[in-house]
Amino acid sequence: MLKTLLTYFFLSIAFSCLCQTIVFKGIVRDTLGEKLPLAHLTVLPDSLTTTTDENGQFSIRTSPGEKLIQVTYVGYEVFQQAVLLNSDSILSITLKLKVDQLKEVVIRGQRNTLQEIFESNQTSTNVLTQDEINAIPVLGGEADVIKTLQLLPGTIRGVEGSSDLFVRGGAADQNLVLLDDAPIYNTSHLFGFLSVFNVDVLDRVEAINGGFPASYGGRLSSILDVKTKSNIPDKTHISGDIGLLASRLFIEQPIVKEKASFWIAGRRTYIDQVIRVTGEELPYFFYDLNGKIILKPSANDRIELSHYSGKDLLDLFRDRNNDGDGFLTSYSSGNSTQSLRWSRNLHQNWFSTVSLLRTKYYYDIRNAFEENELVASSDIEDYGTRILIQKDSLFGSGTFKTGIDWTRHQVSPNIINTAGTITEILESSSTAGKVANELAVHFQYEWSPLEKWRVAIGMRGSMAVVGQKQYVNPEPRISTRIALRDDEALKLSYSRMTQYLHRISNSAVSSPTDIWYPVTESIRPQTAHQVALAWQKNFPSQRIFFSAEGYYKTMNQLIGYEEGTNLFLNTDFESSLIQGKGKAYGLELLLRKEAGKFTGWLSYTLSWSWRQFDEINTGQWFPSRYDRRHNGAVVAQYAFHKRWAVSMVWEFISGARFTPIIGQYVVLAPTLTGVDLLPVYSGINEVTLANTHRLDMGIKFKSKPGKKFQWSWFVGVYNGYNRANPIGITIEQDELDGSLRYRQPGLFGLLPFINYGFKF
Amino acid sequence: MKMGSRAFDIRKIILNTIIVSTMMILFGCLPEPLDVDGVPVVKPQLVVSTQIIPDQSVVVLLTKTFGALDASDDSDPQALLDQISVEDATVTITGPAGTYTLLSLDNGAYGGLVIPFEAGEQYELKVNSELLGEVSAVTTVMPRPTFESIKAELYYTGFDDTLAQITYNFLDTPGRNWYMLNVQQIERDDLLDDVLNPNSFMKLVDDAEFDGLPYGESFRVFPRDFSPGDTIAVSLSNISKDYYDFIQLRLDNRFSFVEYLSEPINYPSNIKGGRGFFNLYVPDIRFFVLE
Repeated sequence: MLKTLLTYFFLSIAFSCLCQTIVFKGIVRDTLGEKLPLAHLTVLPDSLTTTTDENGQFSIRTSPGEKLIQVTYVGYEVFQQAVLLNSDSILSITLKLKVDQLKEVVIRGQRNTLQEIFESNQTSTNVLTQDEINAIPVLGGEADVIKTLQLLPGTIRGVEGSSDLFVRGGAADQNLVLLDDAPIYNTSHLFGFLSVFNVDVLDRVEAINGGFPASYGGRLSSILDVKTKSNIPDKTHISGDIGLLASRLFIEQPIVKEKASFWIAGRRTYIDQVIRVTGEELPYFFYDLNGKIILKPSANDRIELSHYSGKDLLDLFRDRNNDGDGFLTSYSSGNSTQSLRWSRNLHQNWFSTVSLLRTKYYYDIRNAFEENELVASSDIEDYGTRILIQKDSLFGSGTFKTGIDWTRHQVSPNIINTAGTITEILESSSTAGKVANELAVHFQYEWSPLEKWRVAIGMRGSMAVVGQKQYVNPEPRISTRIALRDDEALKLSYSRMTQYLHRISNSAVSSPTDIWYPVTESIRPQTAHQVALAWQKNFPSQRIFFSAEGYYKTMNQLIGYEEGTNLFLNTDFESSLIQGKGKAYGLELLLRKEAGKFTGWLSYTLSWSWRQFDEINTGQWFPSRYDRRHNGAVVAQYAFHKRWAVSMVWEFISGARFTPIIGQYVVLAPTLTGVDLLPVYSGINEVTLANTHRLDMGIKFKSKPGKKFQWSWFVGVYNGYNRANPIGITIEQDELDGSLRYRQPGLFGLLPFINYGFKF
Repeated sequence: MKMGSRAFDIRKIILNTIIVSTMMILFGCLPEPLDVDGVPVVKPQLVVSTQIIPDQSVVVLLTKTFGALDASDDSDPQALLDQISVEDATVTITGPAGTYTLLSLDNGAYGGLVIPFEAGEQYELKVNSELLGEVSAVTTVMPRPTFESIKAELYYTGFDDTLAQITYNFLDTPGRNWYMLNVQQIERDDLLDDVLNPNSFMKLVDDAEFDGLPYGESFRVFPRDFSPGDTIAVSLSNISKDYYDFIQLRLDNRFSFVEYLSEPINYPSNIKGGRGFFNLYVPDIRFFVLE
């Protein structure tokens, strides 16, 4: 009897030991402190495996005892460490770069972003790092996020030099651009030639064109999530760049070791100062100011406070007669954003992020001449919050995310004040200001039903309240990934998106004076359905990635304008707005290499984009303005020496669509003193402009590696063979015989650039 | 000191040279515009334009659409009219009193008859051209408005400009009405030069807020400069809603400076099968010599 009792006693202890599990979690970084997502972690002898999340963190349940922890990450030495786990434990792991990698001229510490994309469930996603953006020669030699994105598949640019993005047949206002979670309403400086993003502050840029996770919403076509640096450095870093168009400076300073730091960055163009030296005046400049405070008060908490402000200013006074009565033009526009983000590891593998946001965009125009004055202004200001809660390892290997987003938009669309005689042709007027509240609740669960099959199902319920009007929209999201082989995957996604805020803009080209306007009782939310199917192949050892993706998208309640609507200084635009439909479909190919001496990508997009409005074109479907059939780019960088690298971009895009004047007719002038000439236009977007292609080249020379003070010279040329990239069709008169002819002018010809960069 | 100053000057010269060279490179290499292929050819269509002369005659101007490359603001007006006038058409106007066939005058103009137009009555225009086919339109004769009082004088802005200031009032006809005011400078010297796009001053008035009541205002003709001795014609017309919308569209697009940055416009027309407008309104025209 005693023997039996003792047996049961010891067995029960043994069972309780077997059932007892502990949580082993931690973070994986490299020697520079960079977090390493999707690092592969194995716990032996239990043969448990997991991968780190986007923050480099992992969490795994295991039994207590002696374990061997093994971590692998492409390009890094294998990490192994024996640990004794008796209770819940946290471990910080640092991986070292493989020795032979140091001999190659690669960007050290670069994440394997292609591996991330390949492993992820999401279709239609591209990731860019600061180094990739810096290596590409673009307009004026200024590294630019938007210009680089325009070289990737699925993203079509508008007029040459502009910062507009047209993603999978969508309009330019259908892209949500976030800077540390805060929306940016106008992404351009210098009337679109440069974007507002200072490359020095960037950590990661993720562009999602389809297969949207449930945590994102608010726009139909894309999410551009720009994250700035968020690591706490161990010492002061200073870097800068001096170029022909602008210069920038970045300073990063630790405050408390591993617990607090800040960085600050500024950029300013000095083209006004350069022109002044020649004796002329060009009173225009822009600047950007970014700053961030990073706090890590405990092992489980992280707080980031970000700020951005940027402005374009033009102040012109022309007094030709030198009598003090001149023509004054002043223009000012700018963005300002602040975000406070608190991330916390909660109990039981829960993780939370709470963000408070504020963003504002405005423009002011003032023209004055003698007793006449015209003042126009507009602004939009948002306050909002985002709460996200996530749990890994739910019901096994599942990940659950849920959250709530709230944004209050205060819109003052258009105020025009006139004084003096000019009131005869333009009276003071204004569009009534509006307050719109946008609320969304979302959840998403991702798990593996079978070993090689991963599914994410989510729902986003969104709502907008404007005055007495409410709109509610469900937005289901589904994405799935099937691993055909270790290096080959098939992905499928479906998303429904809703947009409650629209940009009132000329369909041909956006301008800083465009205004944002919410839904109203008569203007309904825009919606879209999108399906995407992708086949991807990854070569991790060579860091080569190939993707072929097809998509089909339908859009409803798209914003358009009645024929003849002039949006310039128009406060009564709402009565001219019409709503219609759109559809877009295409195939995108991308071959990309991100490591080694030779890096870059080949991209190609074959696409169609259509629109239909009952009120125009007799209700028939017509091609959209940026229905550009073929869109391809070759982007390449070759580091043939540890101090020398050459880069090139060759871009080809089918001509944009255009509606030219094809004829004229005369009618009697109302005063009977003559006849008026009136234009006859072709069918809407009936004519295709000439194809655009352009070659940009650059060569970079750097200081010796290992020196404390690092410098580089980057010299190159934009539009190397000086080809016009048409922005439209005009009618010109021949200087010799006076005859008229159609012409397609371009904006920029061959533009050389030279930049000097430094860091220490 | 002198050497230092000279070195500074030399450095400044070199710097300026580099900067100017850079600017020349930046702005000097403008690419040659590309030729255009594949622009559709405009389909020839009949264009109708009409006006009642105060003595109850009507003039119908018949032209046809022409290519965008065939004429501009600088073209010779007579040569243009010779090219586009339609002179093979049969033009009739049918009203309560019967059908009138207009006589062919010169340069695509048809008229020469006194037709007893009656305010409020509907009239149908039919045009039949052997080459361009048939078009038709229907319109209603609008009641003729009359200035109750009107004066025109010079207004000195206090700067270099002298504007014409018009003060007027009239009695609105009961019912919905739409009015057009025009001010045109009459100068013998450039009358012919200004035939294409004469750019007269236009103002529209909608009687929604003063239906059937007297209405008056004062306005300045902007942006035009006048001098003492200039002659101007000020006219007030009661026009149809369709024509009001047409003129409003033209006024709205006067700020469309760059054609490829503006929305394309197909101007409305009440001509079935063609373009232009069939209007029957009689303006009240007053002439002033500004003093």
